[in-house]
Amino acid sequence: MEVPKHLMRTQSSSPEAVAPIETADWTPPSWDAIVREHADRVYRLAYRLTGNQHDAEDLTQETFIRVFRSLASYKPGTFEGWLHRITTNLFLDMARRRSRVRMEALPEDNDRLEGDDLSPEEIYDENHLDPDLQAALDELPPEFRAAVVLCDVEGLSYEEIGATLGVKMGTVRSRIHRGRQALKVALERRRQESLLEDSA
Amino acid sequence: MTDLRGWGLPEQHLLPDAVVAFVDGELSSVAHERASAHIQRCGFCAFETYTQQQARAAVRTASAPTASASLLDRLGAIPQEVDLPSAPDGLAITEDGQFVAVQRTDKPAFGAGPVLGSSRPLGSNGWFSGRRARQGAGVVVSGMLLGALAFTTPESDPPAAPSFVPQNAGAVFATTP
Repeated sequence: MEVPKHLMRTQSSSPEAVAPIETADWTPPSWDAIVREHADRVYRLAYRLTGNQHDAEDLTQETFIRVFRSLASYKPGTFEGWLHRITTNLFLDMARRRSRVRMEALPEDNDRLEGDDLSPEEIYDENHLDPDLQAALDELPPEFRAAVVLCDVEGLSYEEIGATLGVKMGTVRSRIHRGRQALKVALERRRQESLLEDSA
Repeated sequence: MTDLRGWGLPEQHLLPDAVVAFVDGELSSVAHERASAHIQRCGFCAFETYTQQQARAAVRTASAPTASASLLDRLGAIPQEVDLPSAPDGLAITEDGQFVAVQRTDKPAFGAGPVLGSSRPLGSNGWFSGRRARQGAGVVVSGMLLGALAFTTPESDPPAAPSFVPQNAGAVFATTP
């Protein structure tokens, strides 16, 4: 004899049938495993956002502290998106705070101070991490930089970028478009400058 | 040379939104075909597309920095060095570090309070005034701050207040100017 489906379900109402589906067969990974798996990804994003090793390490550490503190409320399946959101939003927060400070301290910030005192790390970066590209990225306003980096470093879709930044799709498109355009102009200018320097 | 700043594009060109979405493969197949056909015969849009592709490729081909060993050590030591915050009554911390209201499950059982009539007169019996006498004004200030948080935060994020909803994480930040 065939038992109706809804009856079978009520009969088998064991504890796991009551537990929320997403937490039923999920055990949190160890902290070491989380760090091992995600540190490079977060650091890469942080580096391209902040433009230097020191800030990128601080941002990465702050991100992981947030992750650690709220692991209990983490829902499986969104870890990468979660990391992107925390990293990017912490960065934008930091950038807003700094621009406030900088505008108070230096009313004219158009002349950027470049290449003055380089730390050993920065010299390493100069040689290994496409300094021209990073300098061009650094010229972009933080919101545009974030959109471009999420798209072209992290390879996120427009929808994912919109969710990460909390903006509409049209805003995502226009930030990436204008960000890339400014990036291209800056790269081109830097290339011309280095050509002039070489020939001088 | 094409003027890069020409945003008031005439109708016969692709809109910037379409150009960028074309380059990133974010157009529907029909729209992609149409854009592709247009780019074939329009120098302006072809140049726009090329610019986007160049910048895209420059970022995508850049070498990826990796976390240093010392950073990895610091990250690994976080559980030993970071205290998990003990959330104040009725508040929890989301993944963004925002306070949100949670449903209280720890209310004292009925009758567990002081015996009726044993409390101080109305007006001198508040949580704040009771603590103020014992622990000083600092507690009052922090208590009031938390009270303010409890009032404001859930309003800015009403549907997600008790539980963590990742999609809304950015929205909290987007509202700050």
